[in-house]
Amino acid sequence: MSSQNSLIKKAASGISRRSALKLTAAGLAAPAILGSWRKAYADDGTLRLLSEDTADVELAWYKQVNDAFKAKHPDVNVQLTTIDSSLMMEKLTNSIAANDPPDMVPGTLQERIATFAKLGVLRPVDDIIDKIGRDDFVKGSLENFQFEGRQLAVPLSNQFRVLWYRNDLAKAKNVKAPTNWDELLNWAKTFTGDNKYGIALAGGVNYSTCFMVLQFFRQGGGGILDEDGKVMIDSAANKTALEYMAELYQYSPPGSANYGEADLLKNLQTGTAAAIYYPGRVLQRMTTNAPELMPNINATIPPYSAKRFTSNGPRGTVIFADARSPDAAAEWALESSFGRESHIDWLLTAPGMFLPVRKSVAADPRFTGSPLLKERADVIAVLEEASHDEGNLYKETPNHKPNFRSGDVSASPILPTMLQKHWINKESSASALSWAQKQMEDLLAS
Amino acid sequence: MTTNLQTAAVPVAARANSRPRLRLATREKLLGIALIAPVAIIFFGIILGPLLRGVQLGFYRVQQITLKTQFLGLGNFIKILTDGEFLNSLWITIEFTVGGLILQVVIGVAIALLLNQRIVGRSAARSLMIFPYLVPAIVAATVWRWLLNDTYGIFNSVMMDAGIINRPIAWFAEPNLALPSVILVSTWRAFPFIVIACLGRLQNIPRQLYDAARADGASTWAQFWDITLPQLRSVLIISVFLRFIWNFNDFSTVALLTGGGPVDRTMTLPMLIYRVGFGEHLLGPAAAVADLGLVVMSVFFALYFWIAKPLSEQSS
Repeated sequence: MSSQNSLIKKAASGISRRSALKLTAAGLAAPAILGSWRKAYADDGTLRLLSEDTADVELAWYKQVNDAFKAKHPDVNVQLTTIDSSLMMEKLTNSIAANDPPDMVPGTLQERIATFAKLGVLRPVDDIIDKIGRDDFVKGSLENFQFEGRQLAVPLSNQFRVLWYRNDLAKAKNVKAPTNWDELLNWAKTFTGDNKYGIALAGGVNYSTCFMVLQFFRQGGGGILDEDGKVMIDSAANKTALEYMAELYQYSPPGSANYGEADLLKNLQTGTAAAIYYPGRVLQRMTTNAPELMPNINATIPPYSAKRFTSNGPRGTVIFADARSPDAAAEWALESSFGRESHIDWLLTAPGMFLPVRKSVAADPRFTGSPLLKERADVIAVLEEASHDEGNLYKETPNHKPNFRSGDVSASPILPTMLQKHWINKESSASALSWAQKQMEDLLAS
Repeated sequence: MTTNLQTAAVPVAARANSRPRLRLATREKLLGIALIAPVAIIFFGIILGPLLRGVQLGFYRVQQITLKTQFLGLGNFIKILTDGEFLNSLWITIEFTVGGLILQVVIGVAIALLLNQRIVGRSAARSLMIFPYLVPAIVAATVWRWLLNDTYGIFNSVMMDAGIINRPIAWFAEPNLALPSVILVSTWRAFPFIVIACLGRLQNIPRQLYDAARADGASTWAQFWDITLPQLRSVLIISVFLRFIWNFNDFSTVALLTGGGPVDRTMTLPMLIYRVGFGEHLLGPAAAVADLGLVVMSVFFALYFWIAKPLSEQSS
């Protein structure tokens, strides 16, 4: 007992002096050590890319360009992080809030870029555009990424959502591709039966549903916002459009209210649904997953009622104002994203999905000579035609005031929930629209 | 010599008296504090700190990018409690938690009893039983989304072939089926926990108790009711307690299967917190929902312990 006490005594007296001094020294040293580590990390030439390109071909492209970049710049360590496109807004918002944004996002949608542009977290990219050649960009593409007079993204590509359909099924029933809403409804009725469906619609809480709602609203003569930026969800035109969508929903698979893009593609591929709305990536997916089906797949301009409208997706490259390696990011963009050869390679990772916005690239035989683009020139022609009536949540039409909250709108559950309220909760169209009107007003005012 | 020693000892004693020395008990107390301090600091830093910060956020409006805050008092709480969304979510969470818990316990105990019998392939079955519990949530969700897919899922296919249904069922998109389907998947993932916990206890119940009961003419049901169940009580009390917490806070199962839909039919509290905080970028209201969830959970715990304590004492 006494030896125990003496041990305790010894320990107590030890702690009060030496250990206290050691602890104090360690406490003082820790921030300095951590600080120097952080500084070293900031200066060690790590280039952090955050990409929403997750397909195997796209990842192979990143591997190739990053290896080439590393060979040329051995002092720069390129770190690629990929996430699902639907999580991009959330990931960026959180990383910016945590004061830890990536250095750059090689390609993301205009509506997301707009939201970050308004927050002032993006670095102007005029120097990169000047080096590429301002005149090389097709008309309107630079303007797509000019926010309040500042060029905050380099235009990378554009994409369009059209109606894809099964040509073989249409031929078997001797039906032509629909051009207007009445024909689309007839089409949907014709192909529905025996557990097959005329069309597969996206109704889950995701951005595909948001784009589809916008598309039907605009095609019916309505929209989310009017030209002055006022919410117009509860308009009469939108009521008609929502009721029309509910009618179409009867001819869509039963799980549509939970569908995202992957479900749509599976339905078209398996022949469960005769048509879907989808961007040009269908060509790439079919080539990879079911090449034998390629001749049976076709595309057409989305059928409309009052006005033609195609949901577009200009993609741009952004560098963050707080990037730790802004120079390396600019260099990577110039060499990897926009170097002629690698840029074409990237566009060809998903032919038809990533349509060029540079004249020199669009005319380059390496691009135009792509076997898939040549084989499906008919589809490419449809996608090009669709570009004449394009719009998105950032600018629904060229006459619209920009909506800088477009990224938040596409990430919010308001439009999908409105659809679900009418589709499966059987709430009246007026009630669902009125609910969404209020929610959207609150969101834009927040 | 003696004088010298005495003379030398005086100043030492005088120095010792002039500086107040801590009593042994106080020194031991201080040593105890010093030893426990690192743990206390870590506890505060990684558990209590974030918890208090979360509670505090509920009283503020927070700009998510700039993290600028504005004190709102009870504003967030009043809004949440009056717009109905919180109460709807709370009710769904209780349905999800209790529904899942009942199924997990019933199935878990039943399978544990089965695996405690001398049956062919018992060892293999015991090993396989743990499998759903080991599968990552994303894998489990993907597999179940395939199995219950509306157009090519095996459940629909078998039921249609058997003539039970004539149209595929949208398990995760039908308003009345979405929550039961999510509960089913949650049960599949969690019941092995109950099986393992109960099996461990079952193997330690003395055989003599059953022999004596049989000698007295007790039926199988009576043996289960009067011997097995009381013996399992302590294990079940802690298992139910843990599973309640895990079910109540389960985010991944719901997020991966339905995302809270259709039309909020599976919008549990963790999903609501996620949607408000990260979908709508409203950190203040999201924190307020979390705070209220914590209060509800604490009330449940108090009730649970109030009920469970006598049972636990009885079984011990």
